[in-house]
Amino acid sequence: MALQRIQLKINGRPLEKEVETRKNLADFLRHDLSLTGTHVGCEHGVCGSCTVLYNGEPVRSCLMLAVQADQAEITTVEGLAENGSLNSLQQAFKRHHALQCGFCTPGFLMTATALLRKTGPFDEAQVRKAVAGNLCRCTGYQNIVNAIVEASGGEVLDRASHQQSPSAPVRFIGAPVERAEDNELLTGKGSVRR
Amino acid sequence: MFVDDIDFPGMLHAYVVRSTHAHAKILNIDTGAAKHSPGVVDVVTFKISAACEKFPLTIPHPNLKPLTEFPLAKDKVRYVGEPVAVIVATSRQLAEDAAPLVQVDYEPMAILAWTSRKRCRLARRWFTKVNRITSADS
Repeated sequence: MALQRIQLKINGRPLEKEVETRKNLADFLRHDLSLTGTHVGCEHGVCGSCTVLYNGEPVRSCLMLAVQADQAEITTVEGLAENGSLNSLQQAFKRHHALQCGFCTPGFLMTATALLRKTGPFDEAQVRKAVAGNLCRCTGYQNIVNAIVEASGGEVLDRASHQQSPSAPVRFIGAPVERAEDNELLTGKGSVRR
Repeated sequence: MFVDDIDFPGMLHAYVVRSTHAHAKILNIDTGAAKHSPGVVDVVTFKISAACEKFPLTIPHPNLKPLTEFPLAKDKVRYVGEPVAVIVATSRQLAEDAAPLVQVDYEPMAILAWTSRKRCRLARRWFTKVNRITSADS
């Protein structure tokens, strides 16, 4: 078992740790650092659930070795919340019901975070292109796209969108309901540890 | 939240060794070398877990005859990928390392890959040894 010492920054915090050279970045984050917000879906770069930011660029953490992150700056879903509350992108996801089971959510959030660092606003077509590498098995794409368009400052054209108007509260079957688990799923803090 | 996110102290990892044949007799499974591979805690096969019973029918019905599988292949395999052994180790990687060390001696049998009615009847017998499937979980 070959070990190598790496130095990196994770969500702004410097870290030095010995890691097995064959371990991929996703397993390193999840098992060695207990950052289980990053999800591993397909393990071969197709689903996008494990997307993290590597020096600001979205990458598949299941296709990278942890040792390749030496001297790099990694941002995971756990690093998105600002002072303990949801950032504007996470809030938009919650408002638009852009997550159902929540498994793909961290990947979408990281891909969208990289997009939003570029100059917006973005329209639906641009957002769809940006998130083309992320799969949602609940198939809730429309709401995800709406959330990202809104977070970029764009106009959400979809009329079926779960946008609540503060003046006229919606009261019909299917109206958006705040889910207790949304905050955990959006921040990657849903793990069980004893 | 998600099962894979649960982490209790002392948790182990399991890796399933699967059939490489579509239809074959299992003559012998040698787990000796795999058991001595680093980090391996146990290698479970049907012989070792002989107390294992067939999976229960999850939704029983008085008019249906239960027809379920064993958790691990007993004396033959019936499809590529059928679970044959489970390696339990301290890490997923170490469990996978031990997988090629599990020596399974297969005696290949005829393969059915067509859908004609006659052949379907034959395949059904291979799977079940009964002529009428009334209820099965898979």
